[in-house]
Amino acid sequence: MSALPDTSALAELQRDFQRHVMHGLERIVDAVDGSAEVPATLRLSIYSEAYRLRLTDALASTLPRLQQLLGKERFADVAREYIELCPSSYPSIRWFGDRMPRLLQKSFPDQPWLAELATWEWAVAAAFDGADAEPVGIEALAAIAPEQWPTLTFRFHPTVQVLAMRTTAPVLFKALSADDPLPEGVALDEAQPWLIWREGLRPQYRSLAPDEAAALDVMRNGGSFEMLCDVLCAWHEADAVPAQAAGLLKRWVVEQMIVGVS
Amino acid sequence: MSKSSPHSGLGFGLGVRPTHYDALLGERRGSVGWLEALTENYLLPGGKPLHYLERLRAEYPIVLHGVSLSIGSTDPLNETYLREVKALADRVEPAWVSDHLCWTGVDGVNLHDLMPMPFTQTALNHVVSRIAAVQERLGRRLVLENVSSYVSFNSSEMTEWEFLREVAERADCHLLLDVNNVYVSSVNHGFDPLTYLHGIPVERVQQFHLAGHRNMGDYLIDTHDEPVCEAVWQLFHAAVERFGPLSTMIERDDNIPELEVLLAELDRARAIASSAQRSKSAA
Repeated sequence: MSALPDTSALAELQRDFQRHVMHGLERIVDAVDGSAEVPATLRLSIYSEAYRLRLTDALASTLPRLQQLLGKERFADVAREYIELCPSSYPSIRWFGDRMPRLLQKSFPDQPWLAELATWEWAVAAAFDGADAEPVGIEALAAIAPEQWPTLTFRFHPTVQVLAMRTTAPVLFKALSADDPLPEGVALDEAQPWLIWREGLRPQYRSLAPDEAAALDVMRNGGSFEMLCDVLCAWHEADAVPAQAAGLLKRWVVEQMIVGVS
Repeated sequence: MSKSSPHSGLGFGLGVRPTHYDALLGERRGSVGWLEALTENYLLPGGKPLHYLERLRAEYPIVLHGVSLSIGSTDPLNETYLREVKALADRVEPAWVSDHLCWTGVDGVNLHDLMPMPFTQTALNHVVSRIAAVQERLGRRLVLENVSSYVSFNSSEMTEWEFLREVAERADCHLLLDVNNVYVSSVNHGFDPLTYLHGIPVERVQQFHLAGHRNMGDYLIDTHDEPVCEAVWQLFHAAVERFGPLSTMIERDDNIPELEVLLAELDRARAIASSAQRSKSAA
């Protein structure tokens, strides 16, 4: 015999209540007491309206630039559709919105920068509250003996991300954040790599030239300084490569992206 | 767990909101006795929110207040969430950890709202057994808050205060009495809020919440975006008379004003608590 209470009736009540909140199904109405002034349906509607308002507000606070670009009304329409299709399963409302880029891709195929703006905002937020790690100082590089350099590898801050953007979404993000005049969104023929990371407490981002993007790809995958030099040979004269490689490393250290050297 | 009485009071505090971080650490440092932090806002890998929480913790006692425990849900307990809350509590060392006597979703959904319980024996048994499990996972006694509600269920077999009392005594947990929520529910369901207060066992109450609501004419909505209203101040007076000068805080979740405005409201809470204690000792 089980000592656990039989909760099947409670489960059914909660399911009916939830179906009303999410989809307006009315079976729960009979289980609820109403009064002449405030009938059961009005009482229940307080929950369903609050549900949509709260989740719309949550999306607006995690995707504020998307809301700015779409305008409040159009954003509310998108939010309504998202809430219908992608209910939250997260304890923290901060993560509700993770599937917004996919919805925007489907809903706005002719404006691909909208989906990418959502992807971009999500990535910047991930840098904002991503894991902590102590960056190494420039003196860590100076202390390394010349013969150790070829085999050196570097650990990157956990918030470092490289995103291949196929639209000008980061440029839109920058203009919207600064309240600058808004350029038209543009779809690109070729993907442009962008770097996002956190310096101190502040998320940072910048576009990457092809040589730095290739260099980061090798080094974030555990490549050595020697491999970094090999990669850079595709863009630079052989005698300029060591200085180029050292220059990139120095920049990454100064920008607080390196958290370990071994 | 021993049946100890609640913690000694922390005095008068506020719910901590990011817009007030710098003032609380700078020019208004020490202006409140303690802070309540919303648990879910800090279940994060790192960055600015946790950085500030740790700095605030160095200056103030902190209480962690959650919204997603869903203690009344018929879904299984979310073990990942509980591990994260425990890890945060181990890091922050809060004076206590609280959440709400409600459910927030079933079938894996989180509605991100505090949904009402039917006050039945079955629900009571269910909640009591889950509180025991949560207290064991967290290694600490839980503090549960009464929520505002707009519906009551015709399957209910007892009043809300009877339900709360049974939960607290059988699960050996403490209660966070939200005075505004008592008032909001009393108007929405037509009961006397003083009867509610007198139904709650004194030794179980750990903390008071004060907040504002919106008057919709025939009913009230708990919005936490307005100043505390006169009727709630009066009820707070009665609550202090009954339960004593417990840790008290103002909870503002939306339409958040300058810190000064909330500090002035907190001064009013101090004055009312003093007056309630004087009238109690005179009686």
